[in-house]
Amino acid sequence: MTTQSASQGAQSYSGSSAGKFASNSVSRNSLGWIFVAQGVSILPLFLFMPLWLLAIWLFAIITRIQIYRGVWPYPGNVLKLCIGLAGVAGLYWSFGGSVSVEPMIGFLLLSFVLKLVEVRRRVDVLVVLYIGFVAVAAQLLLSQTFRMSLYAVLSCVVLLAALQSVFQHRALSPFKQVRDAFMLLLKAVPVMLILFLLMPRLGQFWAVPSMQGAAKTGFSETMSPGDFSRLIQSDDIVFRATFKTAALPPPRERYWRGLVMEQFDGRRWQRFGANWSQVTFGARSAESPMKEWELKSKSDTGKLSNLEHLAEQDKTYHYSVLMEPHNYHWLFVLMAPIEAFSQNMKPRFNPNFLLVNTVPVATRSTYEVLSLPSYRIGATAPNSKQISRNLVLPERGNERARALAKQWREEGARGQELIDRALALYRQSFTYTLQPPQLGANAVDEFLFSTQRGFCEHFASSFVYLMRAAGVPARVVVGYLGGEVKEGGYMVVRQSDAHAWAEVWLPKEGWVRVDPTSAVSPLRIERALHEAVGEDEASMVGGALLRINALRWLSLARNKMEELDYLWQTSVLGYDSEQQAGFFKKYLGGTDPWRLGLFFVAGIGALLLLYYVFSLIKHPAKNQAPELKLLRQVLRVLEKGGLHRQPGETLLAFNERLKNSRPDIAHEFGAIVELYQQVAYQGKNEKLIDLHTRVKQGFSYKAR
Amino acid sequence: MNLMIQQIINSVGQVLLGKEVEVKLAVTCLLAHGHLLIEDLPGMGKTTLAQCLARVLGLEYERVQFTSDLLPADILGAAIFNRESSSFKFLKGPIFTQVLLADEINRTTPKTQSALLEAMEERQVTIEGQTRPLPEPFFVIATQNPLSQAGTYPLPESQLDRFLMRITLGYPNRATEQQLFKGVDPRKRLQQMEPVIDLPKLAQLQALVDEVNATDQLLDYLQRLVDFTRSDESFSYGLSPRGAMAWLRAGKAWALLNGREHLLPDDIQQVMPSVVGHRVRGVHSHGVNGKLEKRRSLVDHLLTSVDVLAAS
Repeated sequence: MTTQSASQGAQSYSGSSAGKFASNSVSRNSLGWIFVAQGVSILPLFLFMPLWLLAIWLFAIITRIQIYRGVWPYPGNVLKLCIGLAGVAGLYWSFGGSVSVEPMIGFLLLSFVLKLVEVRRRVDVLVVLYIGFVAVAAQLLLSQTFRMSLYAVLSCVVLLAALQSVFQHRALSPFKQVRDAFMLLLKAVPVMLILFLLMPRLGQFWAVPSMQGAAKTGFSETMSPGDFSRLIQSDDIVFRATFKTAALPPPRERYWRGLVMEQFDGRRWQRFGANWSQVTFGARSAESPMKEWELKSKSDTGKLSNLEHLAEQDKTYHYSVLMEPHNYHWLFVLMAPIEAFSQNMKPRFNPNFLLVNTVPVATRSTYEVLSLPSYRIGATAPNSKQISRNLVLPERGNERARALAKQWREEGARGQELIDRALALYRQSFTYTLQPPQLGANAVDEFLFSTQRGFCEHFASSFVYLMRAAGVPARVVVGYLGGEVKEGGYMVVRQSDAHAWAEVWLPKEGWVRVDPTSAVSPLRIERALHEAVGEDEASMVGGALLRINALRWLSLARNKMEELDYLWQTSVLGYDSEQQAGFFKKYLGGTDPWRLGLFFVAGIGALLLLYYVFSLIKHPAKNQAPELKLLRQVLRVLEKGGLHRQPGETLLAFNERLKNSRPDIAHEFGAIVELYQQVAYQGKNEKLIDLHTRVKQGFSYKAR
Repeated sequence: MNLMIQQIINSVGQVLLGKEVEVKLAVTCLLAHGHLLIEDLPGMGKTTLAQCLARVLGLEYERVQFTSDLLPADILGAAIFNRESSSFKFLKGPIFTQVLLADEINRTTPKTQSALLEAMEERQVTIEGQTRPLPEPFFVIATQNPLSQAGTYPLPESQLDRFLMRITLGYPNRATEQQLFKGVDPRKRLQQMEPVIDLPKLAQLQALVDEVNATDQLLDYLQRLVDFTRSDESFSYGLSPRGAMAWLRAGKAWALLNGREHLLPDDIQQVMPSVVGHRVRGVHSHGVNGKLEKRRSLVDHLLTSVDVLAAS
């Protein structure tokens, strides 16, 4: 009975409609592929999106599966509209109504996952999969690391495999399908490379608006005791610096300035200016040092001699910095910056010798700096306002420190001697530690006279306090100290290298860097932090665990990844019009349009030729039998006369057809067919001559 | 020789009116040493054709009506205990014959259908550990009803593959039908039929089939056809080597039947529907047992897609 009912069911789709149905509806196989491909292409987006979108996606999948199983119907238009509107409202609520990239990507994601419940026919599958490629582009909009690029390629492979599945009648193993898609992509690689090298690099048409609520990383605009101990637990890369000059700065010179802090409330340092004023206030173009800096080379006391001259003598450091987004304005430079330049940012100098960007750094960016290591700055014409605000102390609090400074001053100590005295004090009985005790309101007093255990910010803070109390203008500088030199000749600076030190203004000397930490722990200046502190504390430094313990291979792998990331950034993402021109000059001998055209045409032509030759080798042409050649001549003549033989039609059948339509030719052709068949199917090779003469005797004329 | 074949066809044609092509195919199948499956609705002359063939060839034949309660032993035979001699005696089943008429083969269960497997391929049966050869020649001519009919069990692919050909008869045309009404009852004619050839001559004819010449060009065409069933997307699986060999043999027999000693592409094409139709399955699941039109369109697809002439 079962067979009977099944066959009756089959009969209800009769003939062609059954075929149409099969070809139009979405098969179980391609439905599965859509789910997988969609999941792969949107997975990284969820890292940046509110998580309720994930719930909507799962809901869409369940709905689609239920529709496939015939449990639920397709949702109606009203329902779909409601869900869509609710989703848009949710996006508005999640992103606070702002218009930036993320809500837009959220909107794309929402419509992408909701499209799933609308997939009825194969055409819809194509639409969904094409949107998948847009989602892959969105991945790259949100993150451009090497890992993400690899993942984007993987997503493309899966999407391609899914696209193939739509057109397949027979289910292949998923592995084979993915492999095919990969091979497909692989074949496109050479063309992609040529286009990558050749297409004009137009630069950025638009900047990606800053991400809402993107996490700020690194130190902030304020510094309280304990801030840095938290910061150095992170192992993230802050920036990488590639030096174009031959010599790298020695470890003790690797002070990367980030921010200057001049206001102190007894416990917390912060940069000068009201909260609403930007750090970029008063900044000017970074093409040359600001006039009020009074920057001079240390060797000659006159004006700063011309830059070319300095560069020739290797007295400058020329380096480019690739920095990770930290969502602050400041950039990092070695003292003293002479010139800075960037293609995708607008770096400016500010009065505190800082390099700042006009907008917070929200994407990975590069800038180039020229620095003068032996300098004298702000010495000749002191900026009186700047000097005076660097003497200000809170009205009350930290009385003992104040008294100590006063005592030094009364003993006649001035300038350098004051500095030496303070450093001597630290050297006596202070301890450099990552686990400083908690400090109360009078942080400086408590540190100096009771706990005497501290981290860089404690030393910098108390030192500046002492200096100011003794009448020496001083301020706190935060930034990074150090940098791990990699095989590629570049330097990697991590959050664990964060450091705070002091700058003191001395008459005739100008602003001088003093690092009180060096008095306590000289090792910290020469080496990385985790080597400078005790073994029990080293594990608190971010990444140190990996670097020193048995998990070395893991750290090696991570290093390799960071290296690849750097290479990817500099050579692929950083391939700009300048590098392009360099490439053209080096390999094409110039940038003339004809050279580019020739390279383009020849490059792609050579590839096609290669494919062709390869296919020739793989499928060599068979030697055609002589009788077949003759027969083909005849058939070609007939084709010119509009008489085509169908592929599956035998010669006899063809001749029968001719007898009806063109009896005049059929007779002659029939004779040829007879001869041909004798040669080809009877093995009478001697008849080949007859066939030859027959064909050559002008069959062509008769055909017309 | 040719005359003899013509005589066979004529004799059968006198009983089964207006079915020259089908009769020719059936004779081709027997000449090619193959088993024949005739599929059609009841009353179309399947059994008549089968009986005709057996009579004309002058072979000893048995007829088994396949029913749903038929058991393998009913066909193959069984050992029976003889009380007098106190020993088992093997009683041969109806399968020990030259022509076995398996009527309505798909009415029986797969168990019984499978009893024929060994017999058909190896021309021997193994019962209770003892292998017994079948007489020579041995043909199975089976008839079956279309699967949409009630109470049928589809033949498994392995069983179908053992039939060299599957043919259908179809309704007679107008003239033939009227002739049927006027003429003598085919059943009476059947009883009057005399053998046209004898055993040695049949063996001679069968030997001639193997002599038919197939050139490289022709084998190339056949191979491309077979290859197409294996690589094209509309086939869910292709032809087996056994199927391909059967096709070649059927083609040769067809060529011989048409008085030729060499094979032409036309021969290959003309036996194609009956040899290939039940051995391949289309992707859209109208398979070996599927509906007739579907099978036809699949075979048509094969026929029109593969070029008769070798690629240039």
